Amino acid sequence: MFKLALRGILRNRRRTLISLAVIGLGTAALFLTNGYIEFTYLGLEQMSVNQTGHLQVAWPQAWEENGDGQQHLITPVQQKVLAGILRALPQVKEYGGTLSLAGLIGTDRQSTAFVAEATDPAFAHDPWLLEDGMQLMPGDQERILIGRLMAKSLGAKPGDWLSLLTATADGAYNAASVQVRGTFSTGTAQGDARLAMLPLSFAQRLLNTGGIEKLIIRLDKTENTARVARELARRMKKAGLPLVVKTWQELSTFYRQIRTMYGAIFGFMSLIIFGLVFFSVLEVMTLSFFERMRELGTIMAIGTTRGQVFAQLLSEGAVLGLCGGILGLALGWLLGVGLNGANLTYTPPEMNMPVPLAVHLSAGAAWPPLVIALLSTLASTIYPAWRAARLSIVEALHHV
Amino acid sequence: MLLQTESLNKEYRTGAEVVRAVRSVNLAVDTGDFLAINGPSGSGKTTLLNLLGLIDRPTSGEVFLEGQATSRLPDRVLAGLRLRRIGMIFQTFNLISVLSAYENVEYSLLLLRMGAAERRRRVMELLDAVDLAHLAHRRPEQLSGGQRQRVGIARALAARPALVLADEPTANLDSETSQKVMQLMAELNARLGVAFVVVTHDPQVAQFARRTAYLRDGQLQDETGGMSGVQTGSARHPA
Ligand SMILES: Nc1ncnc2c1ncn2[C@@H]1O[C@H](COP(=O)(O)OP(=O)(O)O)[C@@H](O)[C@H]1O
Ligand SMILES: [Mg+2]
Repeated sequence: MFKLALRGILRNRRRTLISLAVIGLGTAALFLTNGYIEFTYLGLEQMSVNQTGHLQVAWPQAWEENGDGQQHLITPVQQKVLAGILRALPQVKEYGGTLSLAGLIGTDRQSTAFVAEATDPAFAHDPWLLEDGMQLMPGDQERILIGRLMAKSLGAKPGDWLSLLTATADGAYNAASVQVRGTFSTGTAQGDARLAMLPLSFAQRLLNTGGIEKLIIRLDKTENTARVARELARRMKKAGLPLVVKTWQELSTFYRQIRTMYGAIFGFMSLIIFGLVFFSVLEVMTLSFFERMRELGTIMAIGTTRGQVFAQLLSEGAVLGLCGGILGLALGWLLGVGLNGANLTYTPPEMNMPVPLAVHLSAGAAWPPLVIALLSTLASTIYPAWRAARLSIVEALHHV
Repeated sequence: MLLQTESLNKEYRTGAEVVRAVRSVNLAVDTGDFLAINGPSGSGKTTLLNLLGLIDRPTSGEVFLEGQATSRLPDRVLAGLRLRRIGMIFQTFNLISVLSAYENVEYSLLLLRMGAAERRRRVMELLDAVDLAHLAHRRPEQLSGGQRQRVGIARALAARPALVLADEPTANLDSETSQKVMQLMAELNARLGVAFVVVTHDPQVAQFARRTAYLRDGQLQDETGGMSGVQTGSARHPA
């Protein structure tokens, strides 16, 4: 059966080559698209995890858009209980508290509004790319990192001193002088103009609190996220902590938006390629079966059932789809390796930093295009095969 | 009785016109028989043979194969009967072009799910019988007309049918090759005891048959002899 299917396909080499080319190119295009999407996911995953940690623990209000995080801090006592729970979880690599604060920052000539995130420098929570100066160090106090554009608008360089004005947890104003340690780039103009980073203990002193707003947790492996999140939530509940765990996927709306968007793009491309393969193979199969009418009549006359004829013609489609799909994956793989070797970069809209243009050539990126190649070829074979299997034997035999 | 028909009729309708291609044919073929069906072009020979071969259904009447009425059997069952009980030989040979001579003969045996060793033995035995063992791996396009028809004969006999039907098997061959092919069929008929029904408009070919039936305008002629419309010919076979 397989042999006959293969021979059936090889019958008209030129036509088979055209089909294989269509199926192969379609599969390769899908494979590369999927590989690029996977590569982007991996990059975004890395970026998201860098920004948010794998998990965050806080009061539920802490993540609310207009929520005043400082009204709901994790107290030092609660921090101790949490630390005990986290030490017992082997997948937890490290963790650290954060506080966010907003206010004004500037010199006597210029000032601007800022939003700062404060973390323990020892926890090394450095999501942004340092452009100039250096990172905050453990033990740093009146030191700050500011966004690239903020530094530009204030005319500040590393080493310069700035005044900072903020409100304390109980509502009073507090002012301090801070020294710029470095400037960073977030990848967006908005972030570069508004964001700043402070050492946690300094921020706590400014706000006159020992509390933290969120606890950021990093795990040994990203794939442990969901499991540890469940376990942590269970243990916090048992310990009576009124806090909530969120995973990086829940926290990164950007990651989720991109996933939805790319999912839609891939779906759309799959549909187009499916249609392209479907219609071209339909044409080829119809021709190929029509040409063989007398032969099909003959094999039915000598005892092949209609079901067997249908199955045989369908298996030709399957073999064609599989060969085309595998060729396409090989082609896609070659192109992908070449692309990855070329070290290309591009700057996506809304970003001001180039990102690498590469593809992740994994089995996960390969199987959906292969399945689509196979399904579209089979789908386009079904109708002509069904028609061929229903031929009147006598008429088919007399067909020239 | 191996094969018998009862008032077999086949009509073709094209628009308002009705062509009665086969009319009230009563015919009987015994095990090991060799019947030639003779008649001018358009007399209904092919139509009759298609009915006998169970690849077409009569408008009315019945074909009994080994006592079984076949006109109402479903397609699947008819395909099984064609596979196991009937061999077919075609005027245009109709070998499968992508398969070798060997594979063409093997085809029915694969449908029968015969074991590899027995299959191989059977195919070689048949190719031997038609004197083509040395060309077993040639494709049809690499064979002469006579050789192709010999492959066709071997293929028809592969599943050890009780009956072989041939529609103008020599019409595409020169007269010398025709003689040899007919000789071969007569020989296999005698040796294997398989019944042959050969349609031809070539009177020379009919010499090889034990009996000849004449068809005209879809009707069997010469309602004489023991059997309706069937005349005992001067069979010429070895043994
Ligand atoms: N499919 C068909 N449709 C209409 N008429 C047909 C068809 N097949 C055969 N006929 C007619 O039936 C008659 C017998 O044809 P056929 O059996 O092919 O004769 P023969 O084989 O003796 O030449 C002819 O008149 C032919 O035109
Ligand atoms: Mg004819």
